[in-house]
Amino acid sequence: MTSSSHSAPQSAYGESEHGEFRSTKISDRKLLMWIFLASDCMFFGALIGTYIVYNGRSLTGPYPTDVFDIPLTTVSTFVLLMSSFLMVLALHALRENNIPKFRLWTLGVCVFGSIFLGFQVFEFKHFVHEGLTLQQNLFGTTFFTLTGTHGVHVTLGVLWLLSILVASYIRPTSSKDALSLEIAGLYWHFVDIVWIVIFTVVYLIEFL
Amino acid sequence: MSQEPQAKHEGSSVRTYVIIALILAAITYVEFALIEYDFAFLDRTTTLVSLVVLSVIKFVLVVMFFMHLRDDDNILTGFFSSGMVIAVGTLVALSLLFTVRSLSYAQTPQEEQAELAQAIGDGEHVFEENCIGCHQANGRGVMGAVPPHVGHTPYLAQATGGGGGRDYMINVILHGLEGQIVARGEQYDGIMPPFEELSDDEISEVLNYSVNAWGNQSILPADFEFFTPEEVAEVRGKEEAASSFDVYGLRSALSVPEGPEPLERARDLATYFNTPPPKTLDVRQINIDPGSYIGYTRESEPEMEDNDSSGEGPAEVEGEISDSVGSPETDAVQGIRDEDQDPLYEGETGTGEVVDGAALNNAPELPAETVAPNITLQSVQADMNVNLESPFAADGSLRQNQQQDQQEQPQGGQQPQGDQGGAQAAQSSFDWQQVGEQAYSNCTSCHQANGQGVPGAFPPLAGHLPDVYNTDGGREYILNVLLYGLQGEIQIGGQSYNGVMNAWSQLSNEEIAAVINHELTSWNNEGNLQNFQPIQPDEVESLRGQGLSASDVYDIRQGLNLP
Repeated sequence: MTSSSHSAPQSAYGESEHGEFRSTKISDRKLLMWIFLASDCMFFGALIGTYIVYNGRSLTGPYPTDVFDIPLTTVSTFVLLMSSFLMVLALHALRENNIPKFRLWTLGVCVFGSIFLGFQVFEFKHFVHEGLTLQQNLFGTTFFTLTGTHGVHVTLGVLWLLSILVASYIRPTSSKDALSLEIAGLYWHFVDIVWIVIFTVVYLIEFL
Repeated sequence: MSQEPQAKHEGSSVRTYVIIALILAAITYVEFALIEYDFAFLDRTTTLVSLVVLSVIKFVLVVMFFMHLRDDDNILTGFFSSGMVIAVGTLVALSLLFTVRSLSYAQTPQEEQAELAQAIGDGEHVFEENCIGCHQANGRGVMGAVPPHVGHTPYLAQATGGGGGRDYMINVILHGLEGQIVARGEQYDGIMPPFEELSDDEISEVLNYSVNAWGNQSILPADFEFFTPEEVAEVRGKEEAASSFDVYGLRSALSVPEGPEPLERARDLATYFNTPPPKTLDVRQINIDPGSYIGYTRESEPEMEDNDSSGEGPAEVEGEISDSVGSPETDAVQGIRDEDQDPLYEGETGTGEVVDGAALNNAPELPAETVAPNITLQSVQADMNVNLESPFAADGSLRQNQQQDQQEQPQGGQQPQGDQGGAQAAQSSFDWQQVGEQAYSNCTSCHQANGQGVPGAFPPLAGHLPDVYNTDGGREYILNVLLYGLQGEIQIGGQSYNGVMNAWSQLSNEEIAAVINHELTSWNNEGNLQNFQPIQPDEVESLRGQGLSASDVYDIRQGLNLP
């Protein structure tokens, strides 16, 4: 049963600024996003676990140390981390009703996310050129499945944020829509922390 | 009715975010530095722990501050944490389940392979320093003297009986080997010196190299245990053999599993000596009967020194040739032909171009009747006599009736001269046969006494010269070739020849004419001539002085419409 305060300012969803909620006193949508992120945790946990289990068991090359470029991946990690930073700035700006800044930082997140994707594409192409494909060996399979899935997540996040950005031009956007941006932001930050784990477990550990 | 939600505060300040962002960047750089730069005080475990801790810090900072979990309702933390716990638990469980093997095994397959590759690389070094001189860089050994490794040592290592193949192989290296053995179906009778001075490591490495190199890896069983220094030490200590003869005795007890066929030695002259080549048909299908050689008889065959090289030690044998003289191969070079051996086999005598024996077998056969019944040697000879008479009569005076003699030439050469030719032959004092044959001795070094030439280098005259003669302008061309030489790659019957023929203008006109007639009437060539008119010395004279080069003659040839 919904409880909406009609007198309070409403977001585009017709919600109060704190969103619809039941007995949890938390916005339904925000709760749902967190639950989704928990499930996504398990999803990536399985993929990362598979990578760990098959690590070092490829019968044929190329092996990780043959293809990994740590400086390059460090740069892309940095880019993604900074995109998370821009994300919180965007949310902060929207809460302050600073729409131009909100748009700027949101665009920034999209750009940085695209830069990260560019790095990934470049890296994948380089790997394939070295002979590492999905079918080549266990490393190829587990690596590309894991990072490919992550890349798809990033792509979806970029598209999501782009649509928010475009929507802000189509219909009036104000701080009451902050919840929507916050939820998108949660998703984006999650994508970032997954990458933190991947960077350490897949890339850095290989060179110990 | 709702209660007001507990929003603690809407986000942190920008300043906080900036600080967090800087910390994240700094931690990323530290992680990078831990891997990229060597720190002496950090061992592997410490680095690993540091990396994990740093990552956790980054993780927590983003979740707590950027995702705002710190200030949000705990229920969100609860949900997220359960997901995290399950994920991490799954990860740990998977790792323990599947990597416990690595706790009891020393290495991952990757590491094992790397170590083996390293050992094999060292073994290659040992091989190059000690073994290559006899067993060759390609592991094929020397025919008849040094057994091959390729296609052999993996099977030898699996031999059963006696002390086993592995022990035997180690003993071979330690004490040498002497005596006739069979390897890959072929016999080898050489002497291998002992290599006792090699260390256990070196011996095991070189054995591992041998069973892996040159494609041997593909015939090793998957569970093959590679040689270890300990194994070598054990065999060394057992002292099963004291000399190379003892090792030979060890070998006799072995039963070696079936291996591949004998080494393919198509380009191996040594095999060529021992293996009669398949009967290939020369495209021209010349049935050369020694009797058809003008002036050639078996008795006139020059004596060849029989120079069998017997059982020389491996150290003296370089490369794959063990015989060089008295063999069919050199016989072919000398132009002496054994009916059962085709010297064109595999092009060994040529520039290395391989003649496809199978294709030759499928070559169209020339009609059986290659000799026109009416042309005989005698009839042509009679014509020759008519035309090759010396311009000077027996008394030294210049003959006056040369022109008349020319007009009396038969047209087409199909009319039998019969007695007239024979009578004229008897009357002629000019023995063009002898002159031609003697002059042809200039040519045998390249074109061979049987006129077969050398594939790839010197074109055949047998069977081919009539084709040239029959072409328009071919007659003149043949004369030009003799006078000015020929240079350039030519094609005859699909085979190319790229030699150089020097000019023979120093021969007299009679000699040149005689030798060409000799060639045209030898080796059954006379049957293929059309409209044959023997060459005249004055024809030769008329073509002198043109100042052509060998390349010019080549251009002339290209202009001919040769078949």
